[in-house]
Amino acid sequence: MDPYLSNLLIVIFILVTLILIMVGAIVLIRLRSARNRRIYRQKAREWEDIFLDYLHGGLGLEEACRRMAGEKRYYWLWIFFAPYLEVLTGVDFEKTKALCRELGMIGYYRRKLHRGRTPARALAARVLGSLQCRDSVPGMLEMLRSKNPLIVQAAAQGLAKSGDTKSFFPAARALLSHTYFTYEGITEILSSYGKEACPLFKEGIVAGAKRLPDPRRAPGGRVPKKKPRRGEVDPSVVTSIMIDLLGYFRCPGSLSPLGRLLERADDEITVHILKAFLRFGEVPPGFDIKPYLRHRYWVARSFSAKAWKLTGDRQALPLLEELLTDRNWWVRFHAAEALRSAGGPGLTILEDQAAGTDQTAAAISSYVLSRSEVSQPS
Amino acid sequence: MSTWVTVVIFYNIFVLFYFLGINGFYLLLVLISYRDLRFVRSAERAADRFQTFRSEFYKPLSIIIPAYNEKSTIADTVYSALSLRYPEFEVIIVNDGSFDGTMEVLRERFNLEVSARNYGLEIPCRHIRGTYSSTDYPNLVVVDKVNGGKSDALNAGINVSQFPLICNIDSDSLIDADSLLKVVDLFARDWRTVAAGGTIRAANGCRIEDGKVTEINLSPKFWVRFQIVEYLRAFLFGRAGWSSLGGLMILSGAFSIFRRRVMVEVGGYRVDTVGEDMEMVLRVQRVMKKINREYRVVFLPDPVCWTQVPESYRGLQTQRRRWQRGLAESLFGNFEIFLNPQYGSTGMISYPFFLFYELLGPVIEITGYLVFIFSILTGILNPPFVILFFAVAILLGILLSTSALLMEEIYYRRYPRLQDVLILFFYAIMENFFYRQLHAWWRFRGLLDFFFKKRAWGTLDRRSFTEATTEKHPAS
Repeated sequence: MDPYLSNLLIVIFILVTLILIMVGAIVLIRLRSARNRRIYRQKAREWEDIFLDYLHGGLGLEEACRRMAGEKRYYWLWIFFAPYLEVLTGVDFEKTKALCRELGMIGYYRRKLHRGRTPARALAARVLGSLQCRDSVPGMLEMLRSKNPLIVQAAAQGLAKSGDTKSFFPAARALLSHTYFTYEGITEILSSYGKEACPLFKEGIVAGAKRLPDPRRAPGGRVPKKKPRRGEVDPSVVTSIMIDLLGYFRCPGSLSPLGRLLERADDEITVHILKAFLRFGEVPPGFDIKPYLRHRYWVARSFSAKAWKLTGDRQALPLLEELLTDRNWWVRFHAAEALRSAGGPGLTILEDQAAGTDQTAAAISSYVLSRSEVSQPS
Repeated sequence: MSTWVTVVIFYNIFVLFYFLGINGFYLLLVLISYRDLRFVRSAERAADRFQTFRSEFYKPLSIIIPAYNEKSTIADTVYSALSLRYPEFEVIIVNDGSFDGTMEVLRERFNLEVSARNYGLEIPCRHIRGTYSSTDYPNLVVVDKVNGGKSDALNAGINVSQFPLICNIDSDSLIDADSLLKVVDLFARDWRTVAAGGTIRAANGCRIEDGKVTEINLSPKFWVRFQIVEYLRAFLFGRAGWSSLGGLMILSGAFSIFRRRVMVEVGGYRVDTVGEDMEMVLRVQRVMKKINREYRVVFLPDPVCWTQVPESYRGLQTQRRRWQRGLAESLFGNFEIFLNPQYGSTGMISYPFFLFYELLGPVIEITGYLVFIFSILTGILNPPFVILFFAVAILLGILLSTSALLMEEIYYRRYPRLQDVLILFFYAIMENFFYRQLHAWWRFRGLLDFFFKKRAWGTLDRRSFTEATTEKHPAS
């Protein structure tokens, strides 16, 4: 036979074989996954009864472990326990953790933390963090030094969930300097440290603020943005993150330091502090909102209009009225909302503007007044 | 040997090498995406989506949906968009001069009133007649404008949008509830990300309730089934593979997310092309290079957008001709990327691939068939060789499609019934016997449309998602 033809026949044979193997794999995978799903559902139902009984004190740890033992697919155990670990606290959480330890889950993931491939290590960090395994903290701190951003992220998340506040600054530093994470992503991860880390957030603000250039000394009151060198951490980003976390957790005793920082804050940090005030639902004693209603940065004007209701400063009403003609829609909207919330005099201003000659002010005033009509109970 | 025989033989050899090249590359993409999908899936297990959803720190998002004569689907699309799981977002519907009652449907279903919202014209667009807010849904805005085409409508939406991330969705598309979170996560994890997108799947035949896909079924229409196989190939190893290589040149216009300031910087979508999605991605890359800013364009296979695909010969033909025209417009409009090492994998690998294989592919395929037939009839090539060669070509095509089905099975398994997957395998075989050839012909005509400067989008038959789900289903 012609060698070309025989080669083609060999290629055809290989291709057909590969295709049949793939189709066989598809069928097997489907059948296996259906079977696994059935088995998992059945096990989950059994485990749920055992676990709830154990939590209620009907079963001891040993007995619960004996009844749930035998499952070597630790990922299944993780899927089963994960929702409970999100919501359980106190004694129930500790009991769950003890059960996971006795079942071998903690040991398994601790081994994976050190020896697994990247996704396995990332999952292990998440599991151990959720279980608040403090003895895994050294392993996770080690992971912060990795060049792989996924490992760093997973380690930081695990450390944050574990609640080990000593790891806060190493995790923050690693996220800021070894990953490409945005400010939002970093804040979200660090928020898992919880309210217990409030003193650290305040410490972070103090440390960051010391390194911030003072805009009052900069030409035109603006500090030029400087791109940090590789491995360096931008102090304004650190400060912004800490402010957001303080606000998110409403850390006690934070208002006055934030008020002091506001006096020398640049545009972005001003916005973060105003947002934090909104989260707190109050402002520092003696805080004067008026300068911020006249701020050059529209986002700051917008948030200060929003924050006006925290001050109730009637002397600021004329400034809010001026903002009804601001070039930015959000500023106009929040100013109009602030006037509406002021009641009597504020509503009068809105009604006058709605009937007035300035189209911009009239439009936003009418819009906000109509929203208040819609939201009236019928 | 006469000259024409020599030419025919050389052309046959050229086609052979062309065929080896394109399939070799596809197989490489299969291997790369298999490795990366595995990694992505494993990393997904470690991600805490519930935490992400609770997060107050994520950037808010503007979802822009252009609508032109979408009376039958627009309400479902809006409900679907409004029910997405995301901390803070607005939905902007841009009515692009519809005359079928689309605006009336919106007014009636969503209680619209004139909005005080204003906007700057950062990107030129045709006249905006008015903007409307919904009294029932505070985060819904409707922009009514003079007809200017899809790109123009998107540009108007960008002008009106307020948030730093823009998500473009087609009006006949439904996004899975968690899809936004998954794609936006890419922006949070990497500040270099300027654009990201997910997978498109055919909604035809699926059960849709309140703007959500509640049951995934295989459409009984064979044109749809062929497209499902194509889409699985295109997304599960095509896009995934290119994204891994750093050479992704397209994100589906049906579902893609961009940073707003980047879109404004590049001047918005071009209105003189039908391939605005690909053209935007290429232009973003050029502008980022010019201003010397690091950037990434990323594809994630897990977030899904369900869309209605054409169910008729005519509709499919119109679409594929338009896509090929759009491909040509995008490639030639950004030609500086070609073999330009500054653009990395995009310039040195994916652009040349798309130019020689995807754009010129139909020309070579069709002339290849003709020359092969001619060669057999004139005895230049012996029939057994040709038959076996065609068999290899068909089997390679089936292998690639089966690889996509296998990846779907391993990582996603969206089709709940095994029989559906086996039916798709059957279509993966059948597509080689007339669908591929027809497709090549349509693409060839699309290329001619480009060279003869045809402009129209053509019309597509739309059915409401409710109509589409009341087709015969064995279960209902």
